[in-house]
Amino acid sequence: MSEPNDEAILTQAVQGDADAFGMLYQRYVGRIYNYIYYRTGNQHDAEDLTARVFYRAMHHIESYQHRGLPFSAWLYRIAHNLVANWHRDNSRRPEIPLEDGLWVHHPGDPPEASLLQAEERERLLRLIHTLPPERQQLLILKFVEHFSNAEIGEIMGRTEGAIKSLYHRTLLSLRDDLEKMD
Amino acid sequence: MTDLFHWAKPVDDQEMAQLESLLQAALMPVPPRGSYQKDLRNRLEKSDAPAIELHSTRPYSVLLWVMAGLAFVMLLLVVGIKSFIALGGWGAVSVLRRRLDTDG
Repeated sequence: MSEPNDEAILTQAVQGDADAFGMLYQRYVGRIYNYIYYRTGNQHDAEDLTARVFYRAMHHIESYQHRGLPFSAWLYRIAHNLVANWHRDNSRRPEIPLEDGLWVHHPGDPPEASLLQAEERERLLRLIHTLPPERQQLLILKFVEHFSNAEIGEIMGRTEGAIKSLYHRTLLSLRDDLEKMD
Repeated sequence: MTDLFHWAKPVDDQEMAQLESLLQAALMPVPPRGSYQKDLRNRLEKSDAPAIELHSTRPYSVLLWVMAGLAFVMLLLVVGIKSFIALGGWGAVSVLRRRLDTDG
């Protein structure tokens, strides 16, 4: 049986159907969590902020207006704002801690290889954390969520061309930063 | 020295592809803990509970304590003012002063 699309579920959720909202939650909780996890760098804040995103969404779903954008764009916007507030509140912290859990171990990798990869990943993730928020958002949406440039454009409120160009500039700046570090 | 013309460096497609695969390896999807998902789902279902009852309640609990403190101070003020009026206000104070002065 095919799953109902977002629009059908949204119509019910907007009318106050809790089960419909539950379905939307089930569909998006993993994505929103991932997005926040990579923006904050730790599990506890990611869990806390993910919960807040869904509470906020639930309390405002009845005023949600469909403007042709995917529902996920609305959720990512909420997540983006909450993460921005979180960064502002934690701005006195000199460095964002990156948890060990962030380094995913691939089973079957020899220990040396995974150590090397872990170091490379750590380096790269630290660099990503130094990028401006919109570039971080772009990389997460592209590599964690596997969205196309057009979808990322919808979420970030930009054209597909602008996203392509931003992506290219982001890669160039990462390349230069990696070269500087070597 | 800052390379002012870094943007003008030729773009090596192979280098970019390598960087993309590095990014792909670094940014792996990390599923939330199952227990967390279930817990949050349950909380959302009982959702008449306000958002402040969720996971990290630190900022909200501080706010609640401040509000409770303010309410207590207001109560003390109201009780104090009411008793002051009931005792006759400034008149009672001046009577007390005079008595103290004469006693002293």
